[in-house]
Amino acid sequence: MDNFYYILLIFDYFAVLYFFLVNGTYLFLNIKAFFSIKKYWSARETIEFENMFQSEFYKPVSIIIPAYNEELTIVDNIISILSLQYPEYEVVVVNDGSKDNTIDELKAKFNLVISSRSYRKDLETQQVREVYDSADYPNLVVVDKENGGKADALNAGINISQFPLVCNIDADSLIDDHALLKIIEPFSKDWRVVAAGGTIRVANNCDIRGGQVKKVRLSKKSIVRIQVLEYLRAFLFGRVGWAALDSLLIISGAFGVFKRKHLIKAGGYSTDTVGEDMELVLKLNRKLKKSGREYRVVFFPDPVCWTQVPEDFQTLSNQRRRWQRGLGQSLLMNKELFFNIDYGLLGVFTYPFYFFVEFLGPVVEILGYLAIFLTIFMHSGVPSVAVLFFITAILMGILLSVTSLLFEEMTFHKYEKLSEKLTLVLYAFLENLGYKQLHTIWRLRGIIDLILKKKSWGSQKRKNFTNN
Amino acid sequence: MLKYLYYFSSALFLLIMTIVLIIITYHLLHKRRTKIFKQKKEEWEKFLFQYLDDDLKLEEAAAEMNDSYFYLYDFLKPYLKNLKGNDFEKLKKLTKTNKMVDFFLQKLEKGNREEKIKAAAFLGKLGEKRALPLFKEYLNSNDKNLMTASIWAIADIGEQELFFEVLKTVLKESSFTFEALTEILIRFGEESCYQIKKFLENNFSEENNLEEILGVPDYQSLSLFFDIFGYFRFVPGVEIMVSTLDSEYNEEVLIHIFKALVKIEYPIAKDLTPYLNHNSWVVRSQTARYLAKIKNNDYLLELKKLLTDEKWWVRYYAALAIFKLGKEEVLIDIVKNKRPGYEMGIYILDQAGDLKVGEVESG
Repeated sequence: MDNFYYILLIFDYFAVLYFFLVNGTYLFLNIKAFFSIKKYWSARETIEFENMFQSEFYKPVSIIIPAYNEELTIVDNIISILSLQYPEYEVVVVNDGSKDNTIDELKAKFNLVISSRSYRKDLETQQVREVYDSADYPNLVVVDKENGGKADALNAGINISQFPLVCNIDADSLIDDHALLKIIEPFSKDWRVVAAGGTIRVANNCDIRGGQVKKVRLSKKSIVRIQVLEYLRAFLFGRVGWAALDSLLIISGAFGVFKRKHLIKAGGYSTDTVGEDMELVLKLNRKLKKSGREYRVVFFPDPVCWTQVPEDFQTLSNQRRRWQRGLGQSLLMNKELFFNIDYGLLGVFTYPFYFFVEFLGPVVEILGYLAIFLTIFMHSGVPSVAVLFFITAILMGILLSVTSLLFEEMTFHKYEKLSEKLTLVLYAFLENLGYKQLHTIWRLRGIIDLILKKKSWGSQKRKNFTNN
Repeated sequence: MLKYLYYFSSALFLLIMTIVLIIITYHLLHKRRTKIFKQKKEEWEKFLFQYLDDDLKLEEAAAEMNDSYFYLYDFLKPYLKNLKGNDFEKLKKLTKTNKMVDFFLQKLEKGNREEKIKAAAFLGKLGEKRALPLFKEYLNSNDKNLMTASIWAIADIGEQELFFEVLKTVLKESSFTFEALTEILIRFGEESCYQIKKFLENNFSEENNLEEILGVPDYQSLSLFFDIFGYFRFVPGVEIMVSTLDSEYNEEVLIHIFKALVKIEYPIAKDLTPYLNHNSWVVRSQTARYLAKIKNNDYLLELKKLLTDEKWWVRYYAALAIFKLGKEEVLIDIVKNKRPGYEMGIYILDQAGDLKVGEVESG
């Protein structure tokens, strides 16, 4: 019993150390993000996005929208994309063998005719059944192909795209009308930029008209409110902070822009992972660092993409398990980076951080909870140090959430009402009482899925945007 | 341990409460600012329109619009971007009379970082030459945003004397893309082309010390200069481009020369065969494009050969050139007899729309 207690004590110390290391990194990222956002905000004064329309020097872009069973949202989404403000772009919709009426919806709404366009098969994909042009929209092309998964659909889109920049947008997402101009601007100004990501925000309950978010409203559902906080944390301090350290490992699959030639060189999206967006950025980093080419993967908090988040626990659980599995797969597929000094900060810090904290974090957390219970059990009571440690952990979580809310308040002001902001502060506290623990269990199940080599994506219940 | 944990969590709690208070304060401040701006905007809009319509005198308008200059700047921003000609001149006069320019000149010198950047953007848009010494100083600033704001401001003012100063700064700033450099430099207007021409005559044609002066390899600066010539359709620049034209020269420069010549559409007395057979497919395609632009029929044989080029764009521009030179019968013949390059012939004739491919194929 003494030995066991001794092991428990060692674990307790390890947990405290782990806690301070993790939260210290998060706080550091917070500080970096603060200065980065401030700098970005003041630089906006010198950028005139409208000028790109008059310029001969903009970069044309192909927007790829992979669609699988998206009959409810696909038309709104495409209308939103077709109304974007950008001088020259094409929209490539890839119907990935949908079982619902996605392709019929597209044919009916956009007057599709069989295309005579020839294209290069730079990337291997499942068979393309047909390519269509729209008789109404000359910059719309639809690819109908056999089902091969999201990555395969994106690769088919890359094959058919004809412009030097490729932007991927999820079929269940909407982007702000100036977002494309803003996210592509760095490609025109800095030759080192090979990929750029934008912020994803929660569209549930927002007022959406003409494919654009007109008024941002906070959903009444707790599950959505918590996700609003999660997205703010992930994008306003997480991604901005990592990007400020030139160590960004994820550009969300929902909204990102890449130089096409680098995508081709990297072999496109990997089809054997459900985390193809992260795997791609890891692969790009790995290949570009290896080639010795100077490059940058950037992230901007301002170009905004709106997405519907799950409104029920089953769908959310499936999504988070998938994300965790995808994270693990991506990390394993690029294990060459692990503590590899040749890759600089990315190899010696960012990759290991993602591995030990983002991926293995749930294991440590679950063990931590177990250790607390065992300590309580062995002490036949609740030791005050355990309680205080638990409170400190909660307070750290709240601090990270409220700083994200502060960044939001200092800059974008998307939520207009004070009551909405205070509600989010309240949820920063409430999420610690049950949701975070549940989330840890979902992520742990994601790790188990990875070990069991589970393949499925799981399903998500879609809602028409206009029904919000 | 317990004591430290207690202190730490208390500090965290206080920090959280402080941040929440800051959020509330920011919210209230933002709300107040939005309200004030809305009210001001309504008033200012009325005065500005009256003034632009000559219903209100300059002094009267200036008297009504002479406070809250940062709000006023936000209000005037779209007008500064969109007004042209006489209206813009009137707006300039207004901002001088109501002391807004003086206010921002002071902020440019003594304001904080954000104020300086805002002032640079404003004074640049107005073409305020009094700000030039400070802009020149900020070209060497360590703050990249302030430096960039100053570059744009000088370019907006179009101050020719600072053209090479800006050029050196932007060339030194190695992260700028070629497009961004050109975008900045064309703001100096066509007048800069004469400066570039003179500069090249002295330092490229005679002394050949471009790299020494500008600090970047010759091919980079030359490509940039020829791009600017092309943008302004600057005919006097053709001479120096032609003298640089040598098939052995750096292909990047050759590409930019032909791209510029395509825009200028000016015929040159030089044998273009080496460029139609150049190793670089971009040079080959741009030369074919150029021939179409200047309606030069002398290279029809070479263009026909290019219809079977390994690169799609070369085949495309060669076929397009043949078509635009009024030699569609050559394409029809190739298509009819299924000679090499007939696929591109079909494509071009089909695109042109005045001939049905089926008819051509069936003769």
